[in-house]
Amino acid sequence: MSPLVQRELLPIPLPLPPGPLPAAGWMLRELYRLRVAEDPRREALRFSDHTISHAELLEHLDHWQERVQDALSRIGCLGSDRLWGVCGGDTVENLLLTISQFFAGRPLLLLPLHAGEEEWASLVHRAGVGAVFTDRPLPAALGMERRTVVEGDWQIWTPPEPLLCAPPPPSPGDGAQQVREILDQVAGIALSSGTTTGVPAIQTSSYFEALAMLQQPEWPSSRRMLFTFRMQFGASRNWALRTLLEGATLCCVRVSERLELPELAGRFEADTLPVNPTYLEEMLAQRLDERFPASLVFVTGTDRVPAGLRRRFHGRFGPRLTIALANSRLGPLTLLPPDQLLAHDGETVGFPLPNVRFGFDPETPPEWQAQGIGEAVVAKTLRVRLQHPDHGLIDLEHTLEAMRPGDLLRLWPDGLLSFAGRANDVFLFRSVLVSPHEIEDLLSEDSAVQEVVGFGAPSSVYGAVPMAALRLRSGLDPEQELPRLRRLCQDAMGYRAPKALIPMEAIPRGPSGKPLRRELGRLHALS
Amino acid sequence: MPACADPVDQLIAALASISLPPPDLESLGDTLRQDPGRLSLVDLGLDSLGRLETCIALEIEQGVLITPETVAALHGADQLLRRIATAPRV
Repeated sequence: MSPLVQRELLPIPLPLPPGPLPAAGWMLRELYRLRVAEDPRREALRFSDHTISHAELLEHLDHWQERVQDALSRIGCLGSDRLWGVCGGDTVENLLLTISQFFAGRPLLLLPLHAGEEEWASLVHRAGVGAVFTDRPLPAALGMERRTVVEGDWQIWTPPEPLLCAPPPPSPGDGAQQVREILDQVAGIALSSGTTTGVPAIQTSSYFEALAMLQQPEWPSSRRMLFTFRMQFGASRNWALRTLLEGATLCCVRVSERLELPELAGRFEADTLPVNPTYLEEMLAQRLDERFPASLVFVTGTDRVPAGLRRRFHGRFGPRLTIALANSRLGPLTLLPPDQLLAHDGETVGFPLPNVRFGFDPETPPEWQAQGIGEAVVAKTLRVRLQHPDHGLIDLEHTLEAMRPGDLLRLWPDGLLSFAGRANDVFLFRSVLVSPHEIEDLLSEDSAVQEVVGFGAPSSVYGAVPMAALRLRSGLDPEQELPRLRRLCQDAMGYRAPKALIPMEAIPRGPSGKPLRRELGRLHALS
Repeated sequence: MPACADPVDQLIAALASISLPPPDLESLGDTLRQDPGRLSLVDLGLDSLGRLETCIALEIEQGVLITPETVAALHGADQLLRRIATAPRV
């Protein structure tokens, strides 16, 4: 591996908790204020029975910001030199408070709604959260005892000792350079969905990177985005806030309303719905095409949408799926137009965005290169626009060089890129390259298989041994089906076939639905 | 598949699960019990890939730790059965 290639995504080491923030006003809220002035009456937010225009949303954001500032001044906290957590229900108040604080530039960690108290406590301690906005009593394990009312049920919970925050720094006096210095020093924070590690990770980044992820001017706009309220993951949050910053409409669905998405899409007149492959399967199984509005386009930033699933989706829904190669740190890197869904091997993730350059690691193993596959090395130019009260619009740009999203890609002559696997998932069985997706593609086509995940079980003798965990359809006898499936794999894959088919009641998956391949490998490791 | 205690049963079970198992495993099992010295590893169909798969099957399904390199150094089926009987267990 080239020593010049940078494995860390952060351009600079960042402190946690973050350094002092500049005065809140000149962050995204002022930029949003400009956008609102263009069309104040346009619908900004639908949330259950709430319909809010952009002008009204801006009033709400200002209101919540004032209430928060008032509460902070009562506890003697003038600045924001600590990381804040948010722990609330899927209510419109939670959404408004959270958006107001993001637009004000406060580093926030959103505690997952579905998590238990232990997971909250773990996240708070691991991330170094110094105070929490919440609408509910917090468990003692979080170490927060002092409470200050913000409004209604919303309170700020802080540790027993007095909360001492640094005063805000003086407003930058000479424009972009000073702004940039401040943005480099402050941490943004989010949870990743765990593609690489198998479990959600706490990610820090410079505030510049965090703001760039919220803007993404190279990505095409949507007019009305339908969105499920799971903003704790950085990527989801970026999609949602970007929609508002563009002056478009965010149709936000409560977590409990998820199964009614087709009806909600119609009621909200949404034109775009972010989905993952699991939901695409659900759409096909439940014939939701008959219930979704014909004008709705689906978009997914998941690393892989299998060719078989694409064919079935295209056959039923037509060219209505846009695919991006994306991750929570770099945001979208490619765009596949819906009419190219089945191009080449049916695994394409599109063309690079205009601000993205792809290369391949020259030290990619020859076995991979022989197949035209390389581990992607990416350069992405991040662009941030801010509205400063004194200096007006400030445009900042920075190129992240030699980033490694961990994807194996194939480059086609026409410039399209195909996803060939996660660098961490593909494994060497002796000297042979095996992708878990080969195993999954084969077995998932069999009518007996409800769900399957391929993985490599680590072995000091063999490198990694191919295996598959699977869930059979209900009522089927594993003793009859497993030998047949094993022979099916051997006929198709020869000695590269999975050496064990492990029936399971439920496939272990992370919170975002991605299979925990490493955990499966660890559980079934050989000598 | 439940693990077997007898080395012949263990070997036959492993051979049954490889990509290209030898034909007529039942009669092969009989020969292995009566006169294993008569059979070479080639007679068992154990080329390099066969050895690899057999050793993995022995470890995963029978808990017998034996490597393809160890098997490659053997000549007769009787030697292989003795190795299986004395090999470490998972």
